[in-house]
Amino acid sequence: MMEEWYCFKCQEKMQSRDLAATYLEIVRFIPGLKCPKCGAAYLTEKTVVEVVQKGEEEIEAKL
Amino acid sequence: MSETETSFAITQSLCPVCLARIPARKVIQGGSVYLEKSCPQHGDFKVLIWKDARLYQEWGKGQVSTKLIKKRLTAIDRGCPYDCGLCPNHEGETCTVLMEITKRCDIRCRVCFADANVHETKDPTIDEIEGMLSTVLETSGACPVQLSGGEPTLRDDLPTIAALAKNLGFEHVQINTHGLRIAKDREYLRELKDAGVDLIYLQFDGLSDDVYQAIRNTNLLRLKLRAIENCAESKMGVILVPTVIPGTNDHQLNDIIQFAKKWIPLVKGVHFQPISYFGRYPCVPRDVDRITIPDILKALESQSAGELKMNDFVPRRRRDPHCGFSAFYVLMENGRLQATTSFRFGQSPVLGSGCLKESPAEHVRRFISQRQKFAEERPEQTPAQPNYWQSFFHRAKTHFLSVSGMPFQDVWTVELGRLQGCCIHVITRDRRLVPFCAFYLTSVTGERLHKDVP
Repeated sequence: MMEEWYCFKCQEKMQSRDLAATYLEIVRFIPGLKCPKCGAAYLTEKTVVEVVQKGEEEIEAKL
Repeated sequence: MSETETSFAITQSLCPVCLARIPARKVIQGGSVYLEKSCPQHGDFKVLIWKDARLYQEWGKGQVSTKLIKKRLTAIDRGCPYDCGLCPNHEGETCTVLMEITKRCDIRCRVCFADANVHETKDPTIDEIEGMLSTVLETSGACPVQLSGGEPTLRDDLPTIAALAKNLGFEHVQINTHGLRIAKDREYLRELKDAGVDLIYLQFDGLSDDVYQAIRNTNLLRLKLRAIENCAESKMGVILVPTVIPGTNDHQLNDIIQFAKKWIPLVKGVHFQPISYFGRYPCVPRDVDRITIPDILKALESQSAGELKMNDFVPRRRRDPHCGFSAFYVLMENGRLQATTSFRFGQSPVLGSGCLKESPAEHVRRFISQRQKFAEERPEQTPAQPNYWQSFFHRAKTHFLSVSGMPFQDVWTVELGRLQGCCIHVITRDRRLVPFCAFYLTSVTGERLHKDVP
């Protein structure tokens, strides 16, 4: 669950945010977590596996 | 005074007159790459093979060699390229197998690698075809199959042949056609669809009839458009395949891309075939009659005003990287193509993870099987937020365009090392697998290197 995550550095509770992520020179948003104090941003494992990895495989199919 | 030549590679080629194996060398002159060779009997030959020497050398880096062919059907006797079958020296695994199911054709093009409609031969029977396909299974597995010719749609039993291939386990079956019958006979196209055909590999040289007159000796544009409309009705995927000839249709490369964009997701890609001089062609080629890969890429960039960029295109990973080019684009909401492939000088050849979990040939086979077929657009499943990665990835499943090309080798440009890496194989009627360029290669007098039987 997103609300259970805390920033390792600041110990602040991470907040759900839409993060701007750049891939193949394209910028789009992706739901993630952001520390309100230091700005460190993370993606959950579920997002990485189900969205990022699958998506990469999809659009890099020709490589 | 001629510009200085720099020799940078030794290779082997063939005499264009007698087809004897002869040594050759690659030289750079004036920024271009040439193949030079000399036959003791027929003299010296020099031919342009690549316009941009720096790109040639960059593309040559990072190639992968594999020898994963399941079964060899011929032994080494006279050596390359006379023992094709495949012989034990062949490196390239099959990524697509091509089968000629007829030599007949109902048009007579000025350019035809198969030199169709010239030789009186009986079409292979269904039993023969089953035997040929069984040989492919033994040697190459259930790779993508292209039913070709001649013109394969002259056979009324083409749906039966396609169904036979599917029933034998071939996952992907495509038809290499000029498209005239599927333009006129929707029921026949539906039968092909019902038989399991995945893709129409459609000869499509341009968007004006002067182009078809020049290459095909007849006006064909209206029928090409009808064929595509009929494919849309039958939910049959299409790849547009232009033969590119300097001074004839090389000014329409981006027009073809823009046309293809309008038909996404029905049209899966555009596959350019720069003219090669084997089979039937208008004249013995001079260098100005050739169009090399950098010419095509530069033309795409300039004609599209940068929508497609030269650096979007990556070489083949297998030996030989100079045999082909490809790029993969997603059609964005604003109507422009976004490349997901990129070539960087002096770096890893591609962006992204770029790691293959399988052999290069398996990768190509999977790409063909998964991407080169009709994909229904299902808007109800499209995530609602267009600025999010989830939406982009979803869109990429249907709204993509593969842009690729393959300049075949002819008797002037052929390098035997490249032949040994070839992954497009023709299954012959005597059940051998022959690399495409070797199978269709002809001497300057029209003599074939490999004769099909009977």
